[in-house]
Amino acid sequence: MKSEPMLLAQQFVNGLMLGSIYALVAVAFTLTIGVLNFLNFSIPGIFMLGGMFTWIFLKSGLPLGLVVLLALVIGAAASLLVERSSYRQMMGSDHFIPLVSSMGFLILYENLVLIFWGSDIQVVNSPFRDVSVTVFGLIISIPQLAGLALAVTMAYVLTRILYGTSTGRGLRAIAENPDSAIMLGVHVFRIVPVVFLFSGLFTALAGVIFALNYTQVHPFMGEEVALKGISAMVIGGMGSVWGAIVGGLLIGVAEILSISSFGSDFVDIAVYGLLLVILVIRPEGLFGGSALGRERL
Amino acid sequence: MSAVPALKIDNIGKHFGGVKVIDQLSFSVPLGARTALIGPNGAGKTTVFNLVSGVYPLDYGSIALNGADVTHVSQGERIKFGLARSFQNIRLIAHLTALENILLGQQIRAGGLRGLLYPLNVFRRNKWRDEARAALCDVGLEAYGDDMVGDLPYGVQKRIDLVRAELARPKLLLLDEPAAGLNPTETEELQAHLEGLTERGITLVVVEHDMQFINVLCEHVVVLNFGSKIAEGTPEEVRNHGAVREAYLGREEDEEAFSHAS
Amino acid sequence: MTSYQTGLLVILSINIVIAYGAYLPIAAGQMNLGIAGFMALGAYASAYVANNAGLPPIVTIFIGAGFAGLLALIVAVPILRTRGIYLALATFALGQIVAAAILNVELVGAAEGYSVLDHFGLATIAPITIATIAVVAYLNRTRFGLNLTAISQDELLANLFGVRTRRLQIAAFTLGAFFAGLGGALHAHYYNYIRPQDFNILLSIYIILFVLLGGTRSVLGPIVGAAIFTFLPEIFRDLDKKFSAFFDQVPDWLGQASAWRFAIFAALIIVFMMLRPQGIMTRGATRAAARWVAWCVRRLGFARSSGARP
Ligand SMILES: Nc1ncnc2c1ncn2[C@@H]1O[C@H](COP(=O)(O)OP(=O)(O)OP(=O)(O)O)[C@@H](O)[C@H]1O
Ligand SMILES: [Mg+2]
Repeated sequence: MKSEPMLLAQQFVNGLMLGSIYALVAVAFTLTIGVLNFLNFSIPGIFMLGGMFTWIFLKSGLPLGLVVLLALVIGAAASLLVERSSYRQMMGSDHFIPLVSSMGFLILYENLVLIFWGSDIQVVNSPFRDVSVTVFGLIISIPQLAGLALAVTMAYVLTRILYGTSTGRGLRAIAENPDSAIMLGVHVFRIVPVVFLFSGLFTALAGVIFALNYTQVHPFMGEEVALKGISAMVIGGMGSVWGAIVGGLLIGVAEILSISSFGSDFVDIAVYGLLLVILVIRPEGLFGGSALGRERL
Repeated sequence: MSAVPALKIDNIGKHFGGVKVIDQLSFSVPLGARTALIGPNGAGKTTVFNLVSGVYPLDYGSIALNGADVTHVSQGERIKFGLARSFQNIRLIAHLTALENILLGQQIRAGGLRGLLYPLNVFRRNKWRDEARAALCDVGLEAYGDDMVGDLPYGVQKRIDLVRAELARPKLLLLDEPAAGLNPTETEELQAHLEGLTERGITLVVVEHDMQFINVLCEHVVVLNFGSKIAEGTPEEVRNHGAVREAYLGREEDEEAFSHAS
Repeated sequence: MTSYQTGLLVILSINIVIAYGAYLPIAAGQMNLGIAGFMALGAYASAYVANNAGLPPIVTIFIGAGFAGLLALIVAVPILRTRGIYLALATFALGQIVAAAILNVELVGAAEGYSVLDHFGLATIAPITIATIAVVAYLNRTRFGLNLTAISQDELLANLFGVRTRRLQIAAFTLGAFFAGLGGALHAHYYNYIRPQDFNILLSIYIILFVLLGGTRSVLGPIVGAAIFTFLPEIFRDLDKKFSAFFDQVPDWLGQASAWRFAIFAALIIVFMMLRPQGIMTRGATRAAARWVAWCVRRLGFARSSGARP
């Protein structure tokens, strides 16, 4: 039996671990919104592809490293497909058309997976099931720790790319003002796929970690997580990479702590209520400041 | 001056970021006249229109329409003071027909909720459509009434844009480069049309790069450069003004336009 | 008509009403991703009143719709200050809150679901749908409709011409929520049993999708979209049984009829948005359809009169 403060600390750690998954998804959302002003609704589907293919490949006996690699490749490819057939086609048309197409992709991906692998919850034969370390009496599972570390590392790499390379400068130019970016000679068609590539990778990675960690996957697993990811992004300020990370961790912790004291329905009301209030009175997010791009009507 | 000017701009200023786009600008537009607002590219002409129509708030200064201070009146209310404008890049509603675009111009006269819910397209005849059709006929566009406006040629769109603004029955009409992109015949027609507007008592302010057009049409010219007024007077006076020549110097096309005009 | 066909028509009728709930704000350039929340409110409010107040059932559905409209009106003022993605997300959050809130109200069964005593059939529902279509068709032919289109394309311009853009957007949003609530109330009175999870975000997404597939520039768009959404699944019903008439071995994946129809619906959306983002029913298409109907009527009339000739 653990003491009360230890229990709380353990829950806090668990919350951080869950939060790192939200954080990865939130970064994926914030990238397409920040740079392209595009709310990419296919992200839950890509998350699910990451998770489902982890299960599928593990089941077929491939080594873990290869499984992760393949799942990431599939996620990235699915994301690039969205770019090809929704975003690229519709630059300059009604602003919600790409959004609508990306919703189409979500439904397409979910149902294609359902058709071939069924809608049942599948148990992932994770090699990490019982691998954990104990630090100061807190149990920390290895893939969770890896997930948290990966989330932070990838966010760091991403910001280095954004601020340190010519591709990054191009991305920020597009975020600032797409028209003048084109005029200044930024190759939008070369750079936009990069956004989708990264956002696909972040999302699929979150799906892989989720599958390995929580060992349950099904065709609709992306929805709940993506909703939390969106909330995390809004709380952190749309377009801000670090805001998304912090927002994700915050929601993870808040969720774990409050479920144990209030129940999950109440958590939903609280999270979405907070989301609504922030959107209306503080659209730049709780921490304010350096959003990647500004809203372009 | 005894008469109340149609538009009085009193020491206004506006900056975007660190750039002062309009700087301590004052001028008046006499009632019933045709005034030209000219200046090199980027001088701030369109910005003046945007400030007068309330699209941007002023940094300082005041604007009066027919003696009424509208500095703090919102953009959607200024039309009630008899102000209408056109845009440098035509702003028609592409998904509506030519006729429907013109109906939009009547909005301010249509009244409140009843006007909003009055059937425009249920019975065969009604006064609003008849009026709009007649206005289209006047500019020779009756054939285009039911075409989607996005598919129409540029010259036609420009005329529709103008007619729409007229149907608001403004007292003061701001036209941003109405002759740009028109062929010589169309330009002449436009000139005649604008003269007709003055006869109907509408005060005009015209932004235009074509000096020939200005010389024929306008009796009063205000010249802007870098957001400030550098000269004002008749076309003749302005043309011989040193600062004006200087402002346009080094810009070949404008110089050309000038020598054409003189 | 078999009861199967009647059932389909009822579902179509309800879907059309809901479609206009999404159509109206979209026509004003706003995306309401909380349609399902407004439906839920209409469904639960009407069901509760119907079960408890002893009012005529037809009144209760309008009370339900009124509640949805009222909520919309209250939240419209703050929410419609946001735009674009922010508005989509805010309405989405609102829908989630409504569903989560209902989940906590014991009075209407919470997660258990809630039974509705009165039942509506096609005879009640179809006239309400027709009335809804008539209202929207009428509005489209007034300055209200004209101004909404203007706002959706160039809000600044509309405002400069004296269009009360804020008020009209609030009106479109509220009226849309009213129709969504009405559709939800009809849903409750047709199925006689409602659960909070019936009104989830995915439902909102489907509604938006089929409305945009149908097209938002003509009053016929939502009808066409709703019809596709309603009838497409039927084509895939019993796919494996149809298949087994020709083949001995039926692959497993053919049995997933419901997934197939959604996948194909989604593919249709994606392809359509690429090739024809304005939707199926543009105004040109609507005119062509009207001409075709007129032509058919003339032909019929001609045939009849010529047939009557000796
Ligand atoms: N919304 C804005 N934000 C930032 N800068 C602006 C904005 N509007 C105008 N400017 C700047 O203000 C200056 C004046 O622009 P304006 O459009 O008024 O010039 P103009 O005299 O109409 O020129 P032209 O003859 O090319 O139409 C330009 O340098 C322009 O870049
Ligand atoms: Mg200009």
